[in-house]
Amino acid sequence: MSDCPNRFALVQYHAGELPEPNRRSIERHIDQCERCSGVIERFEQNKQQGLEQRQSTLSRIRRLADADPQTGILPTYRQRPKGWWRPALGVAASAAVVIIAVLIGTGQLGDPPDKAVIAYRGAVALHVSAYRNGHRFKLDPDRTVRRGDRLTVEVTVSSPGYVALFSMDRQGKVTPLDTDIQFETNTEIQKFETAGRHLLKSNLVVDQEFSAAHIIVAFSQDPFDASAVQSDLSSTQTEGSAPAEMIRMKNNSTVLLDSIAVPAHER
Amino acid sequence: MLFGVHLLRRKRSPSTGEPLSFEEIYDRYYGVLLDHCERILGDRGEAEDALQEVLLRIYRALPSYKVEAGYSTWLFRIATNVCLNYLRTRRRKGLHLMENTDLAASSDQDVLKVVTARRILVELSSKLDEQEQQLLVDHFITDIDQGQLAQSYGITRRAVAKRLRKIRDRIGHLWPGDS
Repeated sequence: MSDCPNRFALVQYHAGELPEPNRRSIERHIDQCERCSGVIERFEQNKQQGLEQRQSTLSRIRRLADADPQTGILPTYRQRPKGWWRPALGVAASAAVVIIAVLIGTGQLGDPPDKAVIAYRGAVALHVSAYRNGHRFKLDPDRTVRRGDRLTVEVTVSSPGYVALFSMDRQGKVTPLDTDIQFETNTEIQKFETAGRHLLKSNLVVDQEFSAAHIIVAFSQDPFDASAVQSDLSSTQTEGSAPAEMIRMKNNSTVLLDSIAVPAHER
Repeated sequence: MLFGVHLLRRKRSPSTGEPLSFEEIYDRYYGVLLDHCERILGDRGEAEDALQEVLLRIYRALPSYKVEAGYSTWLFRIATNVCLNYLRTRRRKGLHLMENTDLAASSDQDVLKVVTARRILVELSSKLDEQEQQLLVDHFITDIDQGQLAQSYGITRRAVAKRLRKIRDRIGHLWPGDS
């Protein structure tokens, strides 16, 4: 229809941004125009998709945003307060640190807190895409993976650090997933020199041998024992459940995890 | 989320007067932003990836955003920048998306404009600077009318038309049909 509103007006209508007279006039048009009602329908379908993955997406965004030192933006709650009371707050904080240190030193507060918990731990996010007949799609529990599909595994880290990749089958058995990148000598972890997105595996083909129910990435800013992570995951995993988000190692360091469920596949 | 952080991330919506948190922006704009990314990139999976980055940028920028002309112009500007970066990366890596031939043969003017604009961005981007690429997206893919474009760029309507003519002269025969 030639009198259709601009698409951007439909965007503003869908987002509830238009003032009342414009809103009503566009509403009347949509009622009569198949094309524009189709556009609104499409926005609505996308919105539903967003709502279905709302919780996981929002928590991933917060994790990446709040913990990313590369941006130069500190999480808001860590920003220094402004105003006349700043020096006073500094003195009070220093005094509190001294008192706590004394209490810890004299054993009155029990064990010192775990440094790994207090310190910045970074963040990791896993992205897995599937390719079929030249088309790419994200892994989705509702979509069956077929034999011959090719998977790529990418990892985004918020700071330089070390990464290991695992696959977990439907019985909860965890095995290392080899990557395209050569691991460092005598270790199963990969060192990332930079923050950002890294391609780890570009040609993971779904074949008869393929049994992954979850692909898991482990990340730490310090080197860690990948086999210990593997056995921890194997021992704590119950059938069908998603892996934990963090593992505490024996030396009290922390390894962060992210995982993606691989939908059931046809053999 | 901590109380203070939550407050900082709440902004006033121009139309309703209600403040919008990041979560409310997610709920209200996810659908339209995903559509926008897909129109620029021509690939659903890549659009979903790009949208994650868009949301991350929105989350970081929201505390310092001053609401003047609504959220959608600002949010779409962020999404366009992220998607143009994706296209640049795609070019740098030598990856070419196979355009759906059904779309290219479509009689729908909107689809034709989008497909052609995408082709220009992929094949002829070296002839356009970043601002011109942005304008091309705003005009043909986002489909913002020239009055609103003038407002968002802080220039006159005539200046918008002049810039579009300048781009058309450089692009030549590939210029999408109706303008």
